[in-house]
Amino acid sequence: MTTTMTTSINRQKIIDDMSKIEVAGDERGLIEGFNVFVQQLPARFWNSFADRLVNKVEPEVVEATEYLLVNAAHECGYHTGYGGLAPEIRSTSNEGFPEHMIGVLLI
Amino acid sequence: MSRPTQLKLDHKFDADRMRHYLNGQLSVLHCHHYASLYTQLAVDAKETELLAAVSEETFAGVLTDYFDKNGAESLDDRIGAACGYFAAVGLGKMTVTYLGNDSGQIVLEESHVDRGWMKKWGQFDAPVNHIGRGYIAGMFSAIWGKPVRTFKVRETESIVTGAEESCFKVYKD
Repeated sequence: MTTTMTTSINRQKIIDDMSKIEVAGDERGLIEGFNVFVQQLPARFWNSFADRLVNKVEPEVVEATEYLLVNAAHECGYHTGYGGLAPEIRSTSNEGFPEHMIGVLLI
Repeated sequence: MSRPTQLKLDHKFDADRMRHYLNGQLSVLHCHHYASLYTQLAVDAKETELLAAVSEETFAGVLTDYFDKNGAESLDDRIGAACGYFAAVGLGKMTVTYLGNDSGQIVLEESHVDRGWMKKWGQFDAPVNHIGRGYIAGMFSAIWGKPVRTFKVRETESIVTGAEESCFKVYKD
């Protein structure tokens, strides 16, 4: 007998719903949800730091720096989804920009 | 000196491109893991000044733009908007204890960066809120209409080290 496992999770719907979410800080100035604290900052802040850091560090640690920047996005997506969904990452920048310049993260 | 929140927020979502805009600024939602890992990377790379500088430049621009578009000319309006924006984007609860031409003091009763770091790794033996430090420097520049790097900011007490609140001293060299 062959058993096929099915799931009732509509991954695309979750992604669509979470992408549209509007948030604002509570009376403590914090945004809490999905077991994490969230912030909504300008994309250029994250992108500018990532790009300038990669260009500033010594050549021998560029690869490691890029890995850590991308890993930050992966961890953020993983934890925001309670570890239940693998992160899917998209860049806010135009096509062709380095992967470490990640602005939008969807789980 | 306690200021009410007087902030206008205009949130737009471009469903085709999956982009969020807050007061016209392309914005992204990230959690404390992301902020903590970026901060840790800055600490490890000895580039915390870069992280603070990028924060200062970004938020000086955001706040200056907001003041211009919303006619925020009085000191009260500008302080209210700056503290309100800090809270609205989830960075924490900020109170301006005093604000002068050459110096100032800011207290954070709550801080995303500190709370996030502690949730992820626990307490730390040094301040980690370089994003907040940069925000405050940019805020002072925007409020006084001065270029970035006009003000220096030093975190003297930190939630992440066990203090009840974080405290920042602002000064000019």
